[in-house]
Amino acid sequence: MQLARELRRTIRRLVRDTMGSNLLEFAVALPLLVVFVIGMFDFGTAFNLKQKLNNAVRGAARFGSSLPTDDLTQPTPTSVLAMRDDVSRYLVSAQINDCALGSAAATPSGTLAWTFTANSGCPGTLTLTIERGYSFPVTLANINNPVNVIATHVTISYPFAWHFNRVIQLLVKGATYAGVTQISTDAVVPNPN
Amino acid sequence: MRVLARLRRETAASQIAEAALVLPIVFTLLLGIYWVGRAMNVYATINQAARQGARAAVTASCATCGNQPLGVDQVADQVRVALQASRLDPNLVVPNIGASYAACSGGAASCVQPTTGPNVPQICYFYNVQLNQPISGPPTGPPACGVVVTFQYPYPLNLPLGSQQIPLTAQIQMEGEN
Repeated sequence: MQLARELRRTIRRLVRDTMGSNLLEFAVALPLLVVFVIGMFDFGTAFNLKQKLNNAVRGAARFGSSLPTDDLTQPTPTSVLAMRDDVSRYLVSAQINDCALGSAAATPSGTLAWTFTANSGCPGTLTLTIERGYSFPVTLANINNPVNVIATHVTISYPFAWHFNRVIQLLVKGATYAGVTQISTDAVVPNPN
Repeated sequence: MRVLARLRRETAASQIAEAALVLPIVFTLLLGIYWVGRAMNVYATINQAARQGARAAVTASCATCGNQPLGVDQVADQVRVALQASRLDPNLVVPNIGASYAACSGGAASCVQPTTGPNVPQICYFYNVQLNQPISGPPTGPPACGVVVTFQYPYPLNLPLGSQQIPLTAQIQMEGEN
């Protein structure tokens, strides 16, 4: 009886007490702030990576579009390997891990298309697809039937690991997030005749 | 002694003391947003300037004048124009000597720098280098030959908790036109 009254009084006093409330509020706000800041950093990094990837495939597509096509009957055309090296060298000089793309083997995937996959030292799998016979229709003025433009199409899909993944659990207990997103981009350059 | 004990219990104006603790951190965050944003802006600008130089370098001048490629001084001049248009100082440019490329004619390429002078950005200019040289192993196919323009620009990051000079790197490679 005595103890319960004592306890009630203590609780009532503690409820009125505002000392240290700032610290408590800070503790509530900090996880939100950390997730927010890391999120900003992460999205900035991801956008930056996407731009670099886009530059890499655009360079390779531009290079590949002007290459001769006489080696395309081979199972692994040297021109496609040279394009692969163009991407891999670009990534390395842009300080991006190329997941050992430089030594990946080509797998035929469709008509005049080859795919490279690499995952050494990366959180996921990098996929590079090179289509040297990509075509798209273009409707020209005064011509009834659309004209097919033959182009070179290079697509890359890169595994991006979010740092965000490590702090989200501060906000949502038990939240699991794979933490890896494939960032994809491609480039098309018409083949000159 | 009694005064000290009283002051220890005293909580009036404690917010001023807390503000004094927190303000440097808040200002570092706010100014950090500004200065890092500016760093991004400078980074984009110097890369644009390097791209301008590389673009000029891969374009053969004119068929009737002998098709001479631009020399390093002319490439540097393109970079200077682009930098000055964005109010950046070309005199602060230092060559990025860390970059290495293989020459298309074989062997390792070394970069050339323009003749020093006022407002001449000291870029590092690679001419006729192989852009698709394999990371390891023998050459695999047709070489992609082109130019590389690369340099560094010192960027002062001024924050309440200390300033630092960060070198921002511009590196642009461009394949030559056939």
